Amino acid sequence: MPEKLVIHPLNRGTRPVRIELETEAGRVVKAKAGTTYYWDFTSSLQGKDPLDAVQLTQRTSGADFVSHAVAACRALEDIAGIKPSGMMKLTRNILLSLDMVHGHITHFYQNVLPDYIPYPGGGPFHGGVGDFRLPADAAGLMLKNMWKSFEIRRLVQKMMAVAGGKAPHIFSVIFGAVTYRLNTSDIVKMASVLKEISLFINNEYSDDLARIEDTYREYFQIGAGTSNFLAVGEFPQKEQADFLIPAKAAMDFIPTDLEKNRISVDYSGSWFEIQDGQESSPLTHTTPVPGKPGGYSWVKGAVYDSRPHQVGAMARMVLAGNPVVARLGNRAASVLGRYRARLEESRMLVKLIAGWLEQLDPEENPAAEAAGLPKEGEAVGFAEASQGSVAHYVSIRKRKIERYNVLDPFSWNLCPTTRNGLQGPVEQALVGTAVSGPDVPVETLRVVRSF
Amino acid sequence: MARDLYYHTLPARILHWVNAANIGLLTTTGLYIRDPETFPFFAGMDIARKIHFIAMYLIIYGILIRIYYSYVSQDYRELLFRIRDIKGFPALVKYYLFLSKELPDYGKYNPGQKFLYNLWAVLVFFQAFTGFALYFPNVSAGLTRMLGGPLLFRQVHFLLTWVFIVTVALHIYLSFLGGWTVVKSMITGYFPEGEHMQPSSEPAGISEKI
Amino acid sequence: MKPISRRKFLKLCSASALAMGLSQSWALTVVEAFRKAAAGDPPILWIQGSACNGCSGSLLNTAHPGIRELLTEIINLSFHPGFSCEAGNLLTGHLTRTAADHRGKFILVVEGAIPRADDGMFNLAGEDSSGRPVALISLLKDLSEKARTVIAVGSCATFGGVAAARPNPADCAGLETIIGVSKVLNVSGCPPHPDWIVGTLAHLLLFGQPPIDDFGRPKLFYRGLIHDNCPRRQYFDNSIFARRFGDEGCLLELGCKGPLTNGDCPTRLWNEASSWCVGANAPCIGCTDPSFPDLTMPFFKRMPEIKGPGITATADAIGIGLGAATAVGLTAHLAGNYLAGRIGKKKGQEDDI
Repeated sequence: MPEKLVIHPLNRGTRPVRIELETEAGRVVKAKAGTTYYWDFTSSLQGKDPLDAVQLTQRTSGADFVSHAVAACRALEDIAGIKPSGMMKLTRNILLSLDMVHGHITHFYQNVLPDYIPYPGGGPFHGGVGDFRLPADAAGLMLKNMWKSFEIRRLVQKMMAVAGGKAPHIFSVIFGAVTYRLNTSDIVKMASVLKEISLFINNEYSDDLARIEDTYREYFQIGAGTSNFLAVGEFPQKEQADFLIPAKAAMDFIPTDLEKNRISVDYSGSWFEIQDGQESSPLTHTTPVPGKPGGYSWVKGAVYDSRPHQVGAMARMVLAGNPVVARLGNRAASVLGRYRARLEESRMLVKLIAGWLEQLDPEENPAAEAAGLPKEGEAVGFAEASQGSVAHYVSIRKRKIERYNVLDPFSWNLCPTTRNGLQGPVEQALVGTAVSGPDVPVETLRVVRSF
Repeated sequence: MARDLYYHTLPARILHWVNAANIGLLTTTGLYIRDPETFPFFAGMDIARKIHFIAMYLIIYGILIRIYYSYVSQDYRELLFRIRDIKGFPALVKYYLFLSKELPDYGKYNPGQKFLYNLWAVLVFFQAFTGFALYFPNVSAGLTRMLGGPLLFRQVHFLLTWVFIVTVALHIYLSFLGGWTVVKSMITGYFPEGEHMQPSSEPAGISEKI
Repeated sequence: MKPISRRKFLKLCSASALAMGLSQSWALTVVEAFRKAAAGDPPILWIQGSACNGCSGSLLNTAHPGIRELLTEIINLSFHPGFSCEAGNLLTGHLTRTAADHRGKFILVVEGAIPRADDGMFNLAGEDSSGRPVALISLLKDLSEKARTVIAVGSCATFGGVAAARPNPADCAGLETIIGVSKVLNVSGCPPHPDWIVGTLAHLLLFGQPPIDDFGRPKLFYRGLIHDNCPRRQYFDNSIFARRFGDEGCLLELGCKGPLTNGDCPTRLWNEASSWCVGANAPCIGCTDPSFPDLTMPFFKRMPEIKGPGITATADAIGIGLGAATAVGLTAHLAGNYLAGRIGKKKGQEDDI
C-alpha cells in the first residue's frame, strides 16, 4: 500500500517548491513537484512599451535577473536586427557570468550545505535533517566557509553593481546598448575583487565539495532525472560568431544542435488554461486558473520535441564537453554531478571574466549601431542562468507588446507531467529515491535542492 | 462722435496686465521646463524654474487681489458668471458662427467673456493645487497619492496649461477682432460710448447673400 | 561603551555620514548598542509571499554591519525560509511555535505581495496539521495579529509592486491593504537598500517606532526626492539632457522618475557605495514609489501615457494638438469675419466717418 508524503514548502531555493510523493517499501514510486504561487509577467506586459520588459522581467527571479534582462534585450534586438557591439557583448557576458557565479555559490552554501552538516542552531538556522556523516572538525570548517560565502556573494554583487548600477536587479543592460562604459578604474577594481572570488572558489568551495563527494559517494547514483539535456547557448565572443557554451539539446546523451522552433510549452500540469489543447507555442494566450483539474503547479512546462529536458550547469558542462564533468560520464546526471558541474562552471567563469575584463576597451562605443525598434515583429531571446536556460518570447504590434512569455529554469527542471505522461526532470529524479523516514526524507530534499 | 466712457478702472487695468504677464511667463517657462528642446524659450533650466516659481506666487496673489477688488468695487456684478447667463449663449454662438449679424446687448460683458474670466480663476486654483503638490512633494504626499499620484498631477498640470494657452489665444484674438478701440480701452481705460466690443456685419456685405 | 543616543543614531544612519566615511563608526557604535538592546531579544520572523527573493538577496548585501554580525550578534532572526534547516512544513514547525511562544512580542517581516483572488489560491503557503492547504493571506492575517510590529519589506509587500502590476489576475496587494495602513512599517524599494532594512530594524529595536511619512515609510531614509539630491542636478538646471543612453546629462528625457521618487540613493549609493541606477547612466524607475510600476511605466519614456476611453495619446500630443486646433480655428474664424464683412473695409461705414 503506497504511502503519501507531502513536503511543502521545500524552502531555501529562489522559490518554494511543493513535492508530493507516493512511497512503497521505502522508495518513491510516484512524484509530483511544483511551485505554489503565481509569479508571471505575461499579462502585465501586454500593451506595454517593449523596452519595459527588460526591467520588469528581471523581477522574475531575484537570483537570475541578469539572464532575464539579457534575454529580453536579445529578443527585442532580434526583432530590430541589431548586432551587438563588442563592448555590449563583453559587458553583458561579465554581468551574466557574475550572476551565474553568484547563483552557484549561493546554491551550494545556502541551499545545499544545511542538508549535509549540522548547524549550531540559534538565529535562522533551526532544525536539521539528519544523516550528518562528516567529522565534526570538517563540518566546523565548512560552517566557517558558509559565513565566508556570504561575504563572497556580496563581493560578486558589488562587482555587478559597478558594471550594472545596483544588484539585485541591474540597470545598465538595455535594448541596443549597455548604458555604462566600464572605465579603467572600474576594470582595475573589478579585477582585484575577482581575485578574491576566484581564490574562494578554487580553495574553500572546491575543498568543501570534495569533502561531500568523498563522504556521500552514493549520491553520484541518486537523482538522475531525465537523460535529455538542453542548453540555449551563451557567451557570444567579441569577434567570432559562435558561443562558448553551445546551443544544443541532447536526447539520451546524444547531442544535436538546438532548433528553437521545437520548443513548446505544455500546460497540462500547470494552473494555466489555454484555448486549444494543452501543448502550444510559447506565445499562445493563457489564463491563470488556480483550481484547474489536473493542475498542480504554477510552473509552465517547457518541452523540447514534447519531452522534458534538464537544464542548468550540468547540462551546459556536459554539452560544452567540460573535461571534469565528462569524466563522470552518465554519473554527471546525479545529485553530486550537478554540484560538481556548478563548481566547474564557476571555475571556468572566473577565468573567463578575467579575460573579458582584459579585452574591454574603455574607449569603445557601448551602444550598437543605432536602429529603432520596428512597429511589428516577433522573436525569442535566449540566455543562460545559474539554474538553467531562460527564453523570452515576445511579439510586438504597433510598437507595444502584444504577447510575452518567459520560460525560466523552473519551466524546464520543474516541468509538470506532460500530456503524454512524461514527468519533468525533478520528478523523474525523485522516483526511485529512498525515503529513510517519514519525518525527514533527507534524500528527496537533497535531490530537489540539487537542481 | 460719441463721448468716451470710463470703462476699466486703473486697479482693474493694472491687475489685468500683471496677471497677463504672469500667465505669459508661467506658460512659457512651464513649456520650457517640460520640454526644453521643443520649446526653447529660455537659456537654462535654472532661470526658467526660478521665473516659474516666482510667477507662481505672483499669479496667486494677483488672482486673490482681483477677486477682492471685484468685491470692493462691486464689479463682480458685471463679471460673475451666473446660471441665467447660460440663456445668452445661443445668440452668442449664432453670432460667432455667422448665423446672425449682431450681438445682442448683454451689458458690459457677454456670457462668453464672463465664463472665460471666471474659468481662469478656477483654473489658476487647480494649477496652484497641482503645482504645489509637485513643488512640495512631501507635504501632502498622502493626499496626492489618494487623488492619483504625482504623475497624474503632472499630466493634469500640463494639460491645464494648454487650456490656458487655448483660451488666452481666443481672448487675444477676439480683443484684436474688436479693433484698436477695444485694445486701447484696456490701456487708457476709456471706451467710446455706443460702440460694440465685437464687430457687426452691418451694413450687409457678403452675408446678405447667404 | 556608552549607550547610543537617538540623535547620534540618526546622524549615523543618514546617508551623508556614510558618504563621509563614518561607516566604520556606525559599525562600532551601533553594533555595540544593538548587542545591549538585543537582550530584550524580540524574535524576528521573516515570511516570503509572492516575491522574487530579491529583497532577501539585498539584505544579504549589508556591509556595515555584515550579514554574519547581523544574524549572530545583532538581531534575532528566528525564521527565514532561505536559511531554515527544517524540512517541509512551514505551518507545523518552528515558525508556528515561535509565533505562539512570543505572542505580542515578535517582529513580523514580510517580503512579497499577497494575492487575494480566489481566497488566496494564487499563493499557498503550506498545509495545516490535517493536510489542508493554507493560503498565504490567512497565514499572514493570523501572524500579523500576534506580532508586536509588522514590517513590509520591498515594493511588493508595501504597495503591491510588480506583483500587483495591471491587470493583476491574482489580485495581489501590499500588506497595508490587507491588515490596515496604520499597522505596517513600510520599507519600499525593488529591492530596498540593505541599509534601509537594517536601519529600520535598528531604530525599532533601539528606540521604538521610527517617524514615518505619509506612506508609512521611515522618514530617515525616504525623506528626500532623488531628483533634489541627484549629482546630475546641475545638468537639469542648465537644461543639458541626455538623448541617448550613455550621454552625459540629466536623464529626464530618457524617462528618469527621480523627480517623483523618494529615497536617498543618490547619496547612499548601492552595494557598498559602488554605484546606483543613475550612476550607471540609466534612469530611475521609481521603484520606491507607491505608484511603481503601473504609473512609472514606460520606464524609458518621459511621461506615462494617458489612458482615456478609446484613446491613447501622450500628453504632449494632446497639448500640441489643442494648440494647433486653436490656431486653425481662429484663422478660419478670422477669414469668416473678412468674408462676412465684419472687419476690413465696409461699404456703408465710409459715410459715417
